Amino acid sequence: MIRHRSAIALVLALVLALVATACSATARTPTGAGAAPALPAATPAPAASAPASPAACGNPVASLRPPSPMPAAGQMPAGSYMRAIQDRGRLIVGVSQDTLLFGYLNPFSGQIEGFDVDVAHQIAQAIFGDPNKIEYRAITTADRIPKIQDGSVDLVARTFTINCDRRTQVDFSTVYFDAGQRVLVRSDSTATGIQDLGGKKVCATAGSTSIDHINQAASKPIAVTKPDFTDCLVAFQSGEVDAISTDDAILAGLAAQDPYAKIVGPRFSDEPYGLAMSLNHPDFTRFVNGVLDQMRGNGTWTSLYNKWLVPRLGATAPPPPAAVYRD
Amino acid sequence: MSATAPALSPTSPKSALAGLVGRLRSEAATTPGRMRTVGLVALVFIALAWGLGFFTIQQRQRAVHTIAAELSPVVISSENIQSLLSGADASSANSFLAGGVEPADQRARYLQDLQQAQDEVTRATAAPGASAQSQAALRTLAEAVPTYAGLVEAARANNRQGFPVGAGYLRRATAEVHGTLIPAAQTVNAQSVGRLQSVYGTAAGNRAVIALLAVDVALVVVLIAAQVFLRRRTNRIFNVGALVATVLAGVLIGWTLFGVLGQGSQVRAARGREDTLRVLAVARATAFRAKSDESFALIARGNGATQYQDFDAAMTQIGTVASGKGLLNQATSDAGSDGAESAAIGNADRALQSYRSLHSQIQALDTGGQSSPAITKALAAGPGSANAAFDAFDTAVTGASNLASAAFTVDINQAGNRLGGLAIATSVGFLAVAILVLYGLGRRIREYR
Repeated sequence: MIRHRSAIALVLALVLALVATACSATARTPTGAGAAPALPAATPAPAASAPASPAACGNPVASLRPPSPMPAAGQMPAGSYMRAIQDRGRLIVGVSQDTLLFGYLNPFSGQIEGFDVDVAHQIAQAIFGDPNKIEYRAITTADRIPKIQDGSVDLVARTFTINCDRRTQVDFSTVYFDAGQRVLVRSDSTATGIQDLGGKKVCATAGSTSIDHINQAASKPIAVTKPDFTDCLVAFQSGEVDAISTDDAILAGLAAQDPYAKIVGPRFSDEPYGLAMSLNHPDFTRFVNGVLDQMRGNGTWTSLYNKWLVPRLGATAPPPPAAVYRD
Repeated sequence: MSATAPALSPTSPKSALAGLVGRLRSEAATTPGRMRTVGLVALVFIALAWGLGFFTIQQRQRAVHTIAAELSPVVISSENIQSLLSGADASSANSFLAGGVEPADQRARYLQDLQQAQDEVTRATAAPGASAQSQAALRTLAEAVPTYAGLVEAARANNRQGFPVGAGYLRRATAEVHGTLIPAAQTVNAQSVGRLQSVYGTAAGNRAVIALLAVDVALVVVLIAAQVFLRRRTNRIFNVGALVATVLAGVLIGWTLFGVLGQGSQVRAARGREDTLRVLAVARATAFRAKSDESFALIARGNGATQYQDFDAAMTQIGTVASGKGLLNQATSDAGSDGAESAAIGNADRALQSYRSLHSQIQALDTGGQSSPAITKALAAGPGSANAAFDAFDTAVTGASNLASAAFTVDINQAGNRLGGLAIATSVGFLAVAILVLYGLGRRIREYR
């Protein structure tokens, strides 16, 4: 009898172990309704596609484990970077001011708002107990890394894709949003994806992964760079470029401004967004990951998704992207 | 007594010509012959003096007319286009900064500036004699101003709906103004100013006056020499005809020279006014560019380093009156002794310094991370605000420009009128001189009959 029970226990333990392993390696598959410009119910992202790079990178989305327990708001540990922020009195965050839905300047309220901005609010809340102790710096795509490196901002929350290359220059939090590159074309276009845009002008911002992917596309489109995605949209509306290609999250914001545009094609890249911070303050990275973890767990992430993306796009919120730690 | 000609056979033309020359020579050797020669020489010089004077007067009047009717309008239009378009750009950038639906007064100002700019383009295009480069630049302006207006409207329409792409259209509109439209206006200006300078040279040049003076002096010398000759050859101290002719010639010459010199100085005064107008227009356009830079820097919310740099460059170009460099300083020296103009430029100088120090406060807030208070300060319009200081500068510069423009019109019209009728008067006068000389000599010659 005892042998039977221990055998069953052993089998159960093995099964649990197997399930646990499977769960922690799950690929993230967002869901969504099919209406353009909805966040797509497209094919699941390819598993952990880091470009072939030195082995030191490993899994680029793996970040540092949060401290346990998390310090309480207003009581940052002495000597930590969060304490320096607390003493300064405000968190300085680099954001976009013209990416609709993620970071954009609302002309009616005069405030910068969006998904990325609300994530920054959460971090300020965690440090100060007050979500509004933030100073925003509007930065271009090309400035995301330099502003971290020269210390002008503490954090960049600006639709920033994590990859091995960038990890050599800045540190990233765990993934807080999953996006993927797609294509925006005119609503009467017959193109169904990047593969149909050979020889056509496709716009993206300088210094983005998007422009790299356009250059790497097999159909050989003509890559056109602009400082900002709004400049891409102006060029698109003026007929100077045929398409815009970048993360579907950003394309959703562009399409929301132009009824004669549609998003087409499968995702041809995986764009996991992370918050960027300096490599010199791993304690801050841990702290930020802790805040993100809390957001995943207490429903804040889902409510932010519902606030920003569901009203414009009509999709239901997917589960938050899982955190992957390397320690 | 008359000399008798040697008898010649009248058959060959050559011998006839030789005979004629010989007869003339021997006749000329006599006193009445000499008197006739003197008369002829005097007539030649009278004709020269009259001819050169008449020609100079006509040439200068034509030049003044060309300046007033053909060239100055184009020059002034091409300068106004620059300041109007720069002003429109600053208004639309400021409106955008205000967010949402723009303030009504800014919108009105933008529309007015745009309309006036288009009128000026039409006016400049209608003026005759433009060079090929000028014409091409005017075509660019005619085509691109509506394009620019379209971009501003697209920015407004998107901004009205809260779409961030509106900022993209506005950036493109500004690039159009400063990259295409204003350079085209500068081309037209440079071309027409080039032509203007050469016509000013004709209208007020000194070389023509010196030549005229030389010929006139020669005439007086000839007339006096004629009287000396007559006095020696006859027993009369005075020859009434020649004397009156000389006095009259002197009066005509004096009158002509006085008129021409006076006209020249008036033309030069007009030229000075026109230079002042040009400098003030460029100063105004540059100031608007700086204002636009300030707005765009604030729109970028802490990311406006490029715009602030251009702001500083623009302010350096405008300079100050005291610094000895820059447009305001140049305007002051061009204004010269005109008290009202100098006073207006002085007011502009002070207002701009006030604006610059208020701008520094705005910039410090913005680059220090407090963009919202910076924007509030930049949009404030009450007394003591940056906008009030800038408006005071604009008002003062416009006032100085209006004074210079009015003075220019007066000067150039006076220059045109100064020589009016002089051509006819001197023609009649020199004719009288000629008649008097002939009368005076004729009386003496007749005594030899």
